[in-house]
Amino acid sequence: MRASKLRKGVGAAVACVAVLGLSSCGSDDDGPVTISFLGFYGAEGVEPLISAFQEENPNITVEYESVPFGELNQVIQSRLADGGESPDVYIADQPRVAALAAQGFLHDVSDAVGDASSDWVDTALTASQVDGALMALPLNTSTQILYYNKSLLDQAGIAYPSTSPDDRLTWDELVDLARQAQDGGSTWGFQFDQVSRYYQLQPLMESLGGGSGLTGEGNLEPALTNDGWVQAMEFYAGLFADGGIAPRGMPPEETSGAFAAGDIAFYLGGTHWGGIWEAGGGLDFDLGFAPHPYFEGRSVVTPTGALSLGVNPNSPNTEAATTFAAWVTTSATGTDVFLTVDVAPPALTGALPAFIASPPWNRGEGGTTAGQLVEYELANTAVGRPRSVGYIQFEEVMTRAFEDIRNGLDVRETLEGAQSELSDALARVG
Amino acid sequence: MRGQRRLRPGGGTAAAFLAPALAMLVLTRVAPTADAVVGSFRDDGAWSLANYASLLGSSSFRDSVVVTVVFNAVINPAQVLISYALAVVLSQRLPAVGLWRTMVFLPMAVPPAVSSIVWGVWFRPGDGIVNRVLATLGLPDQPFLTSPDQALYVIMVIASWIGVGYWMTFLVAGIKNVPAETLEAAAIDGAGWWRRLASIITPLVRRQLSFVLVAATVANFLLFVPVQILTRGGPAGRTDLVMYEVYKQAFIFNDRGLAAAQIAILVALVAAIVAVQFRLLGDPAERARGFRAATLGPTERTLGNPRKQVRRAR
Repeated sequence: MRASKLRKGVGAAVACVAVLGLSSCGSDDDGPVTISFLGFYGAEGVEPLISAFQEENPNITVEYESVPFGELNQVIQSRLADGGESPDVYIADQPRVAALAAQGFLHDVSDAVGDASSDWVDTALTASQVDGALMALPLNTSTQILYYNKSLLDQAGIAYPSTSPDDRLTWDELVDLARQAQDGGSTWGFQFDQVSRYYQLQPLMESLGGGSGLTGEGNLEPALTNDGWVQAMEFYAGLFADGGIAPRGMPPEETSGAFAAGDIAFYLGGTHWGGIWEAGGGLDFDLGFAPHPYFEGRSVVTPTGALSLGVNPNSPNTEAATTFAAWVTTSATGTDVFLTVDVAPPALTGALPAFIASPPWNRGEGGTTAGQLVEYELANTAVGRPRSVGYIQFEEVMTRAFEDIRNGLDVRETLEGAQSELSDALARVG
Repeated sequence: MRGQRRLRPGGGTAAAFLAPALAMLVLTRVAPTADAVVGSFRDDGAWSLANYASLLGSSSFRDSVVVTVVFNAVINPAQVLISYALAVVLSQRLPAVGLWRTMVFLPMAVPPAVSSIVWGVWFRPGDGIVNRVLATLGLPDQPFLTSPDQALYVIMVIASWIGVGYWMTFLVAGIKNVPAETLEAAAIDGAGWWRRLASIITPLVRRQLSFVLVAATVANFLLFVPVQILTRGGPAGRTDLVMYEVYKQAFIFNDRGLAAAQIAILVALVAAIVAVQFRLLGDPAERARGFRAATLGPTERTLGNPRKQVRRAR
């Protein structure tokens, strides 16, 4: 009896899906459609975006669902596997686009935007393409700024570093200043925003000539044990060693709060933080801006890449979902309102001048504004993450290896272990 | 036994009553297991041993099996001993004994994810409560979850904090079942407290102890939450339990075939160890009659039929 009831239930579910599918197969004025949108922003922040969209598209209702940033990728993996139909639209991390597309988790949205593609920042566009097809719609881009707490610098008698990309600190100079700040009373001298995450640390290896860590056809071979990598990781470990300038055990989620609370003198953080602090009425201290540091005599490399919107190809409402994603990423209203949701630099080049002229980016030391610095980094020093269908494996293995190195494990041994684990994992996706 | 004989003429009725339960068992237990085993032999839509070959060739998976075996070799005897000690103490005539038992059992009612997060904060190097307690005792700051030598033991402490109260309740029930007159007779014959514990109580709760050991073994082989939340297998892979590997392959890397092969290996490993445990722990006289599970708890479902396990062990 139970079995037959179950069968009936399944039958009803199938019929339901079929009806939903039909209702969205036609054009948008066929009737009301509800689509789900998965991201990591707080629901309150996204509310204005959805209201503005629904006002222009009364037939489409958007239901937003929020999960923590650290869990977003795992939630996408588990929900979309086996042809899951929900969410209809989701935030896709740009370096994961290739892998998500290879798994059949992304709907080709090339037709949705026509020739608008030329209007996007290059690194954001290429990161959203697979074999020339646009598989996700670029939302924004990013770079990092060396923020500093002017009160803590004053307290230690340190002159404010310039905002100009021509007066960039070397890593050695920064470590000295951070130590001085610590001697002057700052709890910590320095901290990375996304500590032990690949996005944050890629510039260290790239600057020392170690490469991205992935090489070969389709970036499917790990290359983690060359001199550049070892040297960069020795440097990283030293920052956190006993008597170092940066704390162990503080996860990425807590770093910005610690800087905002006045515990850290220098903070190498994402552009979004400047906007978030400004929107919150500023910090309790004056904020300074300096360029991302570099290794003396080596190339200047800054991180970049951010987020795109992906449409679930198994969604019964791909058309409505694509309409929503395209509106958020390309329409004047959509991009404008989205800046209130996420204060990262927009991927649409036309929206960039307004962004860099807005506070706090209109401030700076030495005649250069932070906005000009952002523009310079995006155009000259930004290096995107490697594009590979194995990026998910790569990032997972690297995060653990970086954390082990931060906690003081042997650098070469850890990198060799990661190299071996990654070879096995990448052999599975190649 | 007599009851069963009486039911036999109405076999059809019995089958009808059993059918829903059996159907659910097949649907929720047998089918997924079969699906996993079949899936482990599939690769790109064809039959293949590729998943097993890549597991056997992977040093990180071999390390993960070693970590899992070490973890279980320590945690299972420890949990049985601690829960038995607690059961012995809390089955004495103590003031407010019900309250103490509830307090020991309480961690079971807290979701494991919550316990893991709370313990993660307590074990934090530098400012965690545990280190502050150590500091007041004049002991140096410990790295705990950030140390490859300590992390696995910290996970054991967290898992046991959750587990021992639960296992204790079975043992308290067993101890309460020991006939008072037997204990009284032993006391009159001059047996002291330790002697009564060793020679009367322990042999009489043997079956409950076996159950707890087997059930704890299964539960701890499948342990996952504290690892996922606190260490993600690190540092240096020292907490990379096979169950976390399965999760990682299935839900982070989306490699279902490899995850299925890992599941198959894990299930085979647990079944072999449980079979050995039954073999070693079973009372010889009882084995001759066929083992009957003394106590059936919620975890008995995951154990399968203990009688079958014993037969297989022979």
